[in-house]
Amino acid sequence: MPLILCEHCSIAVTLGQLPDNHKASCPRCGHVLTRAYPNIVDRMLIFSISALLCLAISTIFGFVEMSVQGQERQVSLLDTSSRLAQNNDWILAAISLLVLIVIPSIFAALLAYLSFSLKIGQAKNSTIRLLRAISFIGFWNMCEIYFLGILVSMVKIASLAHISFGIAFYSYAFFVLFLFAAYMHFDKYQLSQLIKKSISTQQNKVLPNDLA
Amino acid sequence: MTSPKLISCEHCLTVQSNESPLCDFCELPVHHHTDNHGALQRAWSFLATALLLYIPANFLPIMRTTQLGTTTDSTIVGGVVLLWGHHSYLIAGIIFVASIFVPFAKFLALLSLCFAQSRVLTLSAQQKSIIYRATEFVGRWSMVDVFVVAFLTSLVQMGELMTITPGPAALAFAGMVIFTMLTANSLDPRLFWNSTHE
Repeated sequence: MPLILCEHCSIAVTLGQLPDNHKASCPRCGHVLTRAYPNIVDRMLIFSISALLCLAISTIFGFVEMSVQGQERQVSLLDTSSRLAQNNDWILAAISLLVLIVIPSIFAALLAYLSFSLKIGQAKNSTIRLLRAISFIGFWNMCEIYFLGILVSMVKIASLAHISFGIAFYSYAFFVLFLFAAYMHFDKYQLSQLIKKSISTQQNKVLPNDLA
Repeated sequence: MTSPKLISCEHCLTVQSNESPLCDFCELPVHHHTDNHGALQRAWSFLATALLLYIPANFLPIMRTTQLGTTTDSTIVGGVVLLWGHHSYLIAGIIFVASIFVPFAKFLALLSLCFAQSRVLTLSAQQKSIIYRATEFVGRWSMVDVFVVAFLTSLVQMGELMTITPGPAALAFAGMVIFTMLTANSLDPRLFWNSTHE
C-alpha cells in the first residue's frame, strides 16, 4: 500500500485505490493530501500549452484603448511596465513585468515541460526537482490578481473616459484561465508517482516500496 | 498513530526512515522540520517589517490624480469612501475587502500564530492549522490595489487633461503584502503538530 505523509501535520497515511475525481484528506488536520484526475498528464500538457499560446497572442496585439475628449491612447501588454519605467517608477515597473509576464510565463513553461517529459516517458532524476520549483513559483504567481486589478481600474475610470478592449485583453483572460486549469492538475503526489515509475522503468531501478 | 521516525522527501515525496541525510530514491537532501526556533525568528522579523510598512501604507497617498491642473491625493481608505460616494458599491466592496479587511484580519491571524508558537497564547494544533490555511489562501489578494495603481499609471498619461501617478503608499503596501506572504511561508505548519506531543 502506498504511504504518504501529510504536508501540513506529518502524519503517515496509507492510501487505498483512489477513484478518479476524488480527493484524499488528512484524517487529523483536514489538509488535502492528493486528488486523482483522469488523464492528468494530457490535461496538464493541453492547458499549459494553450496558456503559452494565449500569452504569445497577448503580447502582439493591443491591450486596452482609452479616449478622453478626442485624445486617444492605446497600451499593449508590455507597455504596462515600460510606461512606468519612463516615469521612473522602476520598482512598480519591475513588479508589473514580473507579475504579468515573467513569472506566469516561466510557470506555464515549467508545467508544459514537466507534462511533456512525462508524456514521452523521459522523466529524468532532475525532473523530480521541478515539483518543488513549480510549487514555489505557483506560490508567487499573481497574474489572476493583476487581472482583477485591471478590471477594477477599468470600472474606476469608466465614468471619465471611453474604454475599449483589444484582442490581447481577451487572450490574456484565457491565459489566466488556462494557467489556473493547468495548475489545478498539478498534484504533487500523483505526479511524483508518475515520475518515479518513469525513472524506474528507464533505469531498471528498484521501485520504492511505497509505489503501487 | 504517528511514528516520529518517518520522513517524507520534499522533492519526490518518498516516505522513508529519517536515518540518512539523503533521500533513498532521488538522493537529494531531506529536510527534518524540527527547527521551530529558526522558523519563528524569521516569521517574527518578517511580520515586524510588514507591520511597520502598514503605517505608511495607510496614511500616505496611494494614488495622485492630476486633472486639468488640479491635483488630488487619495489614500486607501479615502479611495473606498470616494467610490462608495460615486455609487460604485461593487468596486468599493472589492477594494474594502482586499485592501482594508483582509490585511487587518491577516495581521491578527499571523500575530496569533506567532504568539501561539512562542507559547504566549494557547491554541490547539487544529485551530492553528485552520488559521494558517485561511491566511495562505487569502493573503495574496490584497495586492489588487497596488495593481490597480500600477495599471492606471501606465494607461492614464494624458498630460494636462488627466494624469495618474503612484503615491508612496503603493510601494509600502506592496512591501507589506510581500512580507506577510514571507511570514506565512516561514511558519511551517508541521511544527504546530510537533509541539503537541512534546
